[in-house]
Amino acid sequence: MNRMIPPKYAQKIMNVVFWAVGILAIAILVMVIGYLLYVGLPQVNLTFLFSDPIDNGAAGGIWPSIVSTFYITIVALVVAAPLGVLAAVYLAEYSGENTFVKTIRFATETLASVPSIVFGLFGLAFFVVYLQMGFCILAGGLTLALMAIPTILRTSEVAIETVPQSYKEGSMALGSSKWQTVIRVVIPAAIGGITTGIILGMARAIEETAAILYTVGATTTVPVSLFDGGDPLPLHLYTLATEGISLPNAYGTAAVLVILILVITFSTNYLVERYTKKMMGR
Amino acid sequence: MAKKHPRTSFNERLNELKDDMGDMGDSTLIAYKDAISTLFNYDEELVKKVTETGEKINKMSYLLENKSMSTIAAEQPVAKDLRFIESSLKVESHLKRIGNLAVNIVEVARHLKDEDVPEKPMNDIKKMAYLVEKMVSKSLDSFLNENMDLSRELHQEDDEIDDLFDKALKDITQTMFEDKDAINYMVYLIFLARFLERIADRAESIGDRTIFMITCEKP
Amino acid sequence: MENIMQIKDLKTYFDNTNVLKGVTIDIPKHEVTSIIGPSGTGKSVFLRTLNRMNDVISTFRKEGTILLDGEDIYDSKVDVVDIRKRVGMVFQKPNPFPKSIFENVAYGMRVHGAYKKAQLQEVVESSLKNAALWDEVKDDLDKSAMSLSGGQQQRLCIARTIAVEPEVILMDEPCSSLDPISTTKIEDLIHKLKNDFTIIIVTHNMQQATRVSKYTAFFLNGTIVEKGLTDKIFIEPEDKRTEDYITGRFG
Repeated sequence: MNRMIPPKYAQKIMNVVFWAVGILAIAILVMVIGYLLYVGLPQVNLTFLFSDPIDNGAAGGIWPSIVSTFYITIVALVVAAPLGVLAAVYLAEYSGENTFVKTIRFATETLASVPSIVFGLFGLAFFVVYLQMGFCILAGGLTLALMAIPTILRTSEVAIETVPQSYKEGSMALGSSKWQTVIRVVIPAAIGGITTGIILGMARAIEETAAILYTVGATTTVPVSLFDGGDPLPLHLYTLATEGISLPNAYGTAAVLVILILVITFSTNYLVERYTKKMMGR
Repeated sequence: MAKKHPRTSFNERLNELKDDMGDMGDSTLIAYKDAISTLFNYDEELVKKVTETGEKINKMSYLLENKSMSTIAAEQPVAKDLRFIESSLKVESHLKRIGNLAVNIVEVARHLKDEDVPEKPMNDIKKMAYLVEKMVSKSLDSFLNENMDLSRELHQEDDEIDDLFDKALKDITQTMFEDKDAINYMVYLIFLARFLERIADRAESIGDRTIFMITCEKP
Repeated sequence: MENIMQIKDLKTYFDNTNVLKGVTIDIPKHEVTSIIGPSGTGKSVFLRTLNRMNDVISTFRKEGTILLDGEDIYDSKVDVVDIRKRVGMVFQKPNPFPKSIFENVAYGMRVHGAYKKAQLQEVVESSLKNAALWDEVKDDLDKSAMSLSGGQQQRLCIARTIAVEPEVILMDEPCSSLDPISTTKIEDLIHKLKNDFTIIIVTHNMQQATRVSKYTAFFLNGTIVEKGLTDKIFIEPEDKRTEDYITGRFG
């Protein structure tokens, strides 16, 4: 092949290209978040955060939405995290490779790619109507849990699979049972990846709109029990924006949502990293 | 199946060691033969040569020890290789001793050169000298070719040497009684017989070493 | 001389691949036995059969008997967990858990139900002392085991193993990833440990076998070609194949 560019320069050019692509990716993120915060933050103050909405949010605050988001996320996590992690443990440590397991994997992957509105409709049909829960936090949380499970499962499974065989052998050789090995060695060693999975699942639950559109109702009061309706932040934002109630308040809500997600992501990352560092002695 | 591999550097060292042992053995044998020949045909040149060979053998001995030590340090020999190196060290010290005894023999030859030694004890010495030469050469053969049969023959021959030694002593003392003037040079003949008997002993020890090297058992 | 383990005509299979083809050997109590031989001749498989580590491989199956104190360790009434407690194992690469030094040593006891802090502390200290590591780590027991050097990690793994007081300790090339000084320390340790434990060590380092063990078995193609006193094997081997192997001329 006739080299048009000497390798030395090709290397330099590619370095520049990769740098540019990287910077572009960061720039897009910074722009989106920056713009949101720039437009939205001026709306955010204590009154906005801690008071009830007036006229469906045309005025007033978003307190009920913050509480709804909090509740619904907790419900989703309490259900999805144990299920996802346990299923991951089963797939990574116990199942071996057979048709049943292959089916589970296929099902999980399909589940992960189902559009969220379909989850929403399922939630409506199954939780709200068939199980007669009505529009409520529980129905919404369970629907979100269904959506989060594949994410948590896949990420946790990978994390568990990357735990070195030598740890497990070391544990078994000391006379511990398989289950003890899983609980005491494998899961702690994989906790970084598992937490990442849970955070990813949680982030998906917090920001999800379509799945809760038909399950949680749109009550604008602070929910007290699981069977109360709610109006989580994304849904509130969606209503404000699409129904043209108040665009500035929509931006304000969006800013709060983004900050919430950033805080959760960064703080968990920090904690996980600190834990891993301590355990790995770095 | 595991495949054979040569350990080239180690084998080179071992072969070199074996060659050196051969060379040292040859030099020792030459020194001995020359020394004996000065007994019967005194030759100043040959005497000088024996002394020189004796020194050469001493030098070879140091070199051999050095090489063996570095081989042990570098290659950590075990089993047969270890036994060969260890035995080489023992054998070379026997050879060195034989070389020194050859030098002692030419000293005797210098004292005897102008004397008219009676035939009877001289014949005993001649017989001993001949048998000892055979033994030294046989001991080298047995060691270098790992031949235990030769080693065993050496035992018998050493017994013969002991008998010859006794006979020589008897003949020498008798000569001394018969001719008191001969005493001052006949003493050297006693030494000579003693030296030959010592060399035969060393040759036998080399044979024993060979047996130990092969079987790890006291012969 | 008392034999703590007796292995009779042991054959192992993975699927239909026959690895060990009839191994018979007695392991004397409170002595060090070395297993030497070329790679892929079943040394590690042999070791892993002695504490039933091969059980986790579904295609594994064995014939013949392995007695520990006269009891068949593969008997259906025997609890595999109990066997692994009695026959400990130290691996080729140091594999401490990503936990603190203390937790690493306490692990075995916790697994077996010990939870009293005072008791754990006592055993952790004595095990670390036994493994000649205490002086180096006594002020850093809360630090991660991963922050130790390779040699220290391996001694920690030995401490972890002796903390559960096994009868036999299997060592699978425990020094192969360590520097010479660390190797010497482990060898000194083995020398000391044989007073309380029986040790079976697989090693590729022939000199190590001569240094640490009283008995040696030479494995070739899934069988023992020669076994006996280490001194005898390394000075005067009976079998030509043993001689060729230990003098480094094949393998």
